Formats: sequence, structure tokens, C-alpha cells
Amino acid sequence: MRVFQMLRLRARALTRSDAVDSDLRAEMDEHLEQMVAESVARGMTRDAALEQARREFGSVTRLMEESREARGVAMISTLAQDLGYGVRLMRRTPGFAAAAALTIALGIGATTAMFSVVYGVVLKPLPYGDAERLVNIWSTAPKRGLPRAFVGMANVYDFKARNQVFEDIAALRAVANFNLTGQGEPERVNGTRVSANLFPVLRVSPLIGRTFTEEEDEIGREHVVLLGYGLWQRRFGGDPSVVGRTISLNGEPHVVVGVMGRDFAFPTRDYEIYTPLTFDPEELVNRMNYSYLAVARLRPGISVEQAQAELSTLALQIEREHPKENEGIGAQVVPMLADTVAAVRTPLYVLLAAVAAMLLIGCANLANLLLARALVRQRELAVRAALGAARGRLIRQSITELVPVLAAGGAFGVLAAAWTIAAVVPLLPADLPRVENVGLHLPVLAFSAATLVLIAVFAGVWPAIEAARGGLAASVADLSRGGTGSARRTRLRDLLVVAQIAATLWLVVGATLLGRSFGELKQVDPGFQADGVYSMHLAIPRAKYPKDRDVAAFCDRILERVRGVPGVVSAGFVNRLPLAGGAQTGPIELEGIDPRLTAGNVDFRSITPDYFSTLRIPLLGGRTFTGRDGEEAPFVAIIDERLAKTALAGVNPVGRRLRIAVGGQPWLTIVGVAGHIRHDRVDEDVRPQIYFSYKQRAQDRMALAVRTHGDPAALGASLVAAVRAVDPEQPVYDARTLAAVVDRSLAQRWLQAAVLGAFATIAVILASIGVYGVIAYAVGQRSREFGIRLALGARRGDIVASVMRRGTLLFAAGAATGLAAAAASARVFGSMLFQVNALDLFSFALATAVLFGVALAACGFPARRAAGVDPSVALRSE
Amino acid sequence: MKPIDLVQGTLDLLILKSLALEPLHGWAIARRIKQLSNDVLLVQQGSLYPALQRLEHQGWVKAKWGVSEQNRRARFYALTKAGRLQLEKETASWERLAAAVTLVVRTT
Repeated sequence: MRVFQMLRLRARALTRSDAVDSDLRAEMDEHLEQMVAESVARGMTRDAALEQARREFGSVTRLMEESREARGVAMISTLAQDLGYGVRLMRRTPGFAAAAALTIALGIGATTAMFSVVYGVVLKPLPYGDAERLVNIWSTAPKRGLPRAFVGMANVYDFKARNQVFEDIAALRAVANFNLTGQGEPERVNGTRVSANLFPVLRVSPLIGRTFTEEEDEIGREHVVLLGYGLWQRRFGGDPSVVGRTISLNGEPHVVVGVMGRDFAFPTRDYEIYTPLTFDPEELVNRMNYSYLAVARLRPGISVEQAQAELSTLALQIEREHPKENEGIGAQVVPMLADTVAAVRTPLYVLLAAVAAMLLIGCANLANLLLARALVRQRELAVRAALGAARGRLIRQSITELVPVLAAGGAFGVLAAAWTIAAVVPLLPADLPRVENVGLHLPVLAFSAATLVLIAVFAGVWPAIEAARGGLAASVADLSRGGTGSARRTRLRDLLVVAQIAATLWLVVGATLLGRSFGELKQVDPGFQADGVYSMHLAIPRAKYPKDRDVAAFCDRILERVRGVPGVVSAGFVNRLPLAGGAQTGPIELEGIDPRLTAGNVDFRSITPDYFSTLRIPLLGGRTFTGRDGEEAPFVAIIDERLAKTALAGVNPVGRRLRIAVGGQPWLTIVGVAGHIRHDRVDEDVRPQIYFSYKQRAQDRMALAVRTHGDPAALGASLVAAVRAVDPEQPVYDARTLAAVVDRSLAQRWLQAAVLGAFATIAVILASIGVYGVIAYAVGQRSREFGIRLALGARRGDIVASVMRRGTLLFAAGAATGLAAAAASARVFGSMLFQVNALDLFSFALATAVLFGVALAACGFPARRAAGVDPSVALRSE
Repeated sequence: MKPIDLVQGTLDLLILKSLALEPLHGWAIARRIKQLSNDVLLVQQGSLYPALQRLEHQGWVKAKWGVSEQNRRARFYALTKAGRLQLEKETASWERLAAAVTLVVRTT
């Protein structure tokens, strides 16, 4: 009670010193007033009484000053005493202090850095009003092989009209390339077309200007634009007068109506332009075009499950009304934040668990260190306890001694975390969502503080209690004879080491699995050769090249120019580069083939003739496209090996016909078969692929691939210059080697494996220190025993074996626990692995063997020392 | 007889002693000390306050706002358990000191 009262007082004196002062002042004034009143009652005039009272009372200002001092002195004295003791102690044992502080700094630094990522990415609420009520709505079409797809506008309209669970539903289309021209370099900017109600649904207001009006959703009135904060700063220097100005997007004038705030990163930070969403009213009738993302706000009190139930019911209702168009189309409601981070949540939590394991291992070392030290001092403690010192007081002192180390370690840890975040965040893969939120936010610091308290309790309080444990008189006697300490304590120390080995092995198994998985990933043949190829993207503005033939002609001019660049072997265009993100897909039908064999979507790719040779995608049959496969020529297509095998097994595909299975598309004749490639991801092989001639199905978003002699990166600048030479206003983006594109697609997996590998390495080092420490301590304690045994004729080999046996036993216990833990987390690890079983025997065995080797080495040094004991010296020390 | 100035450090003891019976506010403490010492001990009234702050922060007294007998707002100080112990300790050491000084002064 008294402690709390004093703490409260001191806290108040520290934080609210002005309030304390004014209280005191009021008190003194009251006192003066009493004195005056007394004198006046005795017949003095008020003025004279006041004069006398002031004289007798003394200077209020000086007294206030003295009071302040009195408070400060009292507060500091006890604290300074305790801390001073701690600091003196640390100075006396600097090696110990440094090791302890370093361990704490490492633990706090790693956990803080890791948690800051977890918090920023997974936990921090989205920067919208009442963000937990925001959900995304997806279509599901399992019968068509699509577990999840965007939604169609007709369905959005029906949901909107009939549901009782949402306040409103907004729609958007996030894939819109804008070529921003005028005022400097042409630039391609990612943009989103959004319905006007998106902003009210998200509950965000623009920084300046306004958002869109309902009328601007109409075709013909949509030439208005909202700028993202980053674009506004970068391109317009943060000039507020940009609102009302007209800028050129895709060659068409758009009026800037507003600028969004710095926090607004919707749907991700890559999008910096917003324009109204217009759509062909025909879509409401034919119920086609599933290419929108729907975002809705739940009514207060409505749960995601309720909303899901309602939409499922509505989807069935709509299917009954439109049995053909809506066959098998369902709806899925997912909380927006969970949806955004779904792919990275498990890996991040695994890494956080890894950091926690590392922290545990470090703490166990620290606890062992402190326990050893506490036991050495046990005699002192025992004497003091015998003289009447309360056990609580002794424990408190032990903890206070730790405070300087904890403070130093904690401070350095947080600093290290800040440096790590600053250094590492820019290197994180660009497809890691919400990475811009990573920082030392308040909840992160609270987490660090909680971790520090945990360290203090685990590593500080516990050994202190242990050392001050009962039977003190006995231990005085025991220690004075230099005994080995109680069996209980030995067991405790052993337990710590077992826990360390278990946690380390868990980490090493995880890291080995991930490493092997990444190795497998690197072995995957993507079906094309990325080495030696340079690539870049172009968004070809339709305002400038309105007709398909204009686009194709523009591509031809660029190709001609690029082929002229010295060092270029070949060059081709494709509308979607492999592993660069984004796909164009749809259903097809093959003439005379059972539709069930061609169910599900295939990738559509429009290419120029040399695309295959540039990427070294093998042509397995027939021919590639030629310049003659133009608009007036017969329509042709090339299919991939996979489609040929699944749908046309045993039949020569060349000469057969196929078409896109969406309303009235023309038939195309198959002229060739190409090798299958990994298109979306290296670790997933989703769809078969078909190719169209760029002249027959022109696309305005194109990627240029160029095969070069030697290092392709060296040619980058001249290739961009070649494009600019054809059209100086044409922006290019994402210009890099194709190998870099492939690496980028693997970056998240690489990072997971690398970070876990780093953690595992640190854990192994820490654990080997732990094993060494415990064994070395035990050897030190038993040196007299070894001396006697040697004197009685034991061989040195026996001594070594006895020490190693103990180490091996400890390792076996730890390894069993660690392997069990690794097996138990198989499901979690499994979700992060590629073609490696989460219970992969090789990984488990390898990790165990490596750790066993390290543990043996850690035991080896103390064992050699044990064998080297000189019996005469050991016995004389009695 | 001229009142005596206080020996350094005795003020704490006097305050604790005057609070032993009941909680008092600052002015009443001053009055109590004056009464108990038959007007011999003069406490500069203002110097009570730094002392009270020190005692409060040592945890020996605790203070609470209340209303005085003159119906005015006043801060009442009361001895805590720790304060009572401290009073005993200081009383004992004062008595030892006083006895020793008396002994020295009387010895001729």
C-alpha cells in the first residue's frame, strides 16, 4: 500500500509538478490568512497583521523552492541508492554486464523489428474511418474452376438493391494505366477507376478539393481526376493550385478535382490516380465482364458471417432468375484488412515465432548467467538472510541490480530496431502489402516494453528467487565446503539448456525446410530463358493510336528501331510478360472437342513473331506468327503444349479451330504449338496458354523483350532511348532484366528463407554458448572430483566421456522436444513450402546432425579441461 | 525569555510528534508546537512546508484536503504507519542525544 502511495506521489511530483506547486501555494496562502485573521481578532489592523504574518512566515518564493528541493531529494535518494548499487556492481564485472546487455539488446532489437513489421502490415487498422466494418466482395465460380474472381457489375447492382447488411457497396477497377504527359518526362502511373461512392464507403475525405459526384460516373462526364499524395508531391511539387487545372492522361484532358491525403494508399500504395468508374450499360443486361472489385461497408452490428449468409442467399436468388448467365456464381465476403494481408500473415507470424524462440534462447543464457552469479553470491545472501534481511528485500535488490543492464540493453535494442527498420524496409519485396506502415509505432514500443519486463522476470526475478530459496543455513555450510550445489538447481540449469536446444532445433528445422524449398524453387524450369533478356513495359495511349492497326504499327516501328541497336539479337512484344504480375484470361472452346476438356480459363497472350525466339520458348510444332497474320488474313492462334496434351491428346492440333467462348467471337485456326511456361508464379502452374497475333488482337499494354549479346542490363539505357526515338512522349516503366523480373517474383520466398536462416544461425550460436556455459560450469564444480578420480587411476578418456555423456543426454532431451515441436508446426510450415514435405526426413536429420555437432563442440572444450585437471592442484585447493 | 531557534533536523521530529494525536493542517501544527513547548520553541511558520513535503515523500505522513474548524479549505496531514515507527525511532535517538548532552553539560 505504502509503496503504491509513494509511487503515486512521486509520479505526480514528476509529471504534474505545477499542480503540486499550486496546491502548496494555496496551502500557504491559507496559512497566512489564518495568521492574519488571528491578529485581526486581537485588534490589529488588517494591513499591519498581514505585514507581521509575512515576516513570521518567511518568503513564500524561497519556501516553495525549498519544498521542491525536499521532494526531489526524497525521491532521488532511495532510487539513486539502489541504482547506484547496480551501476557499481556492473562496473565491477564489466564482462558480465556487457554480455547481459548485449543479449538483451539483441533480443529486444530483433523482436521489436520483427513485431514492427507484423504490426505495420497485419495488425495496424486500415487508415479509413471505422475500418473494421469494411469488406471486399468477390465472386466464386468453383464449377468453372475459379475459386475466386472479381465481380460483375450486374451482380453488384442486384446486391446493392436487395441486401440488408451493407450501408453501401462501391465498385472499382484497379488496373488502369495512365500515361501522364506534359510538364516534363512522360510517365506511366497506376490508376484506379472508382465509383463515386467509394470515398463515402471508405469514410475518407480528400486533402484538398473534392471527391467525385454521382453524375461523374456517367459516360462523357468522367474526365475528372483525383491525385494521390505521392504523385502530387513528385509531379506537381505539392502545389495546391493544381486543383482545377487540366492535365493530360492518355492524351485526353482531365480536370483535377482534388488531392488525397498522405495515408491514402488504396487499393495499394502503387496506385496514384483515381478517375470515375464508367461502364457499358450493356453489362447490366448481358451480365458479363467480371472485372470489378466490390468494396462494402457493413451496417453497424452486422457481422461478416451475417453478410456472407445474406449474399449467398442473394446469389442463389439471382442464379434462379438468370440460370444461364449466373450458373454456379456465388459471392464471398472477406474483411478488407484480412484480405489485403492474407498471403503474408502466416509467414510473418512464423518469423515472429522464430524471433520469440531466439529471444527465449538468449534469455535462457542470461538466466543461466545470472543464476550462476547468484549462486556464487549465495553465501553472502545466506549470511544476510541469517542476519535478518527479509527475503523480499534480497530479491528486490537482485532485480534492482539488473535495472542498469535492462535499461542499457532495452535502449540499444530499440535503437538497433530503428536502424534495422530504416535499413531493411526499403529492401523488402515490393509486393509485400502495407510495407509503408512499418515503423516504431506506439503499440510496437509497448510490445518492446512488455518484452523487456518479460526478460526481467524470466532472467532476473526467477534466478533471484531461486538463489534466495529456503534452507539458507544449509547452503552456508554447503557452500563453505565448495560443494556442487543442490541437485534441484542443477536440474533447473539443465532444463534451461534443454529448452534452448529444443527452440534452436525447431528454428534450424524450419530454416532448413525453407532453404530446401527455395532450392527446389530455383530448380523449376519456367519454360523460358530469362538470362540475356532485357524487358520493359509500355502503355500505348489509345488517344494517340486509336485503331488496332495503329498500335501494331507502333510496335513494328519500335521493333525495327530496337533491332538496330548494337548488341541486340532479337526482340519481341507480348502483352503480359511472364512472372511480372497480371494476366489476361478467359474461357475457350475447341471445335469438335468435349467442352469439359477445355473447362476453366486459359491465358491469352498477344505476341509479335519473334517473341518465342527472344524468350527461347520452344516451338514444338507448326509455325510461329508472321507479319502476314494481319487483320485481313485468316485468324490464327498458337496453343501451348499443355492444352495440346489435355484437350487434343493424340491429335495433331495444327489446322484445328478454337475460339474465345464469350459471345460471338470468331474461330481461329491453330497454326503452331509452343512450350508451356510458368506465367503467374514460379511456384504455381495454373492455366494453359494460347497466343494471338498482335495484329489480330492488338493490346495497348505491351511489354518489350530484347535478347542481347552479353549483359542485357548494359543495354538498358540505349533500348529505352530507342523507344523514345520512335515516340518521345511514350513512357516506359519497369525497365529491367528479365532475370530481375524472375528474381522479384521469388523475393518474398527468398526473404522468408533468408530471415529464418539468419535467425537460426544466431540461435545456434546462442545455444552453443548456453551448452558451453552449463557444461563448463559443471566441469568447474566437479574439478575436485575429477582430481580424485584421476588420482585413483581413472583414465583421462573416462573423464572426457563422462562430460560428453552429460552433454549428449542434454542434447537428446532437447532434440526430442525440438523435433516434436517442428513436427507439430508442420501445418504452418507446410503453407510456406514448395515441393518439400513439412515432415521432410532429410531436413529433420540434417538440422539435428548440425546442431548435434555444434553441441558436441561446445562440450568438447570443457571436457578437455576436465581431463587436464592436475590431481595435485585440485586436491590441494581443499 | 527569548525563544530558541530549532536545532537542525529536530523540526521533523516535532512535526511527527504533533501529528501523533490526530491529523492536523499546517497552521494547527505550528500552533501545536508552540503550545506544547510553552512558547519556548519558535518555528518559522513557513519552514513547516518544505519539511511537510519531505515527510510526505518519505511516506511518513499523508495529506488530504479537508475543511478546517474555521470552515476553511485546508490540507490535513496524518501519520502513516511508517511515520509512527519513524517517530519512535527519532524520539529514541533524540532522547539518547538529549541525555548525552545533559550529561556533558552537567559534568564539571
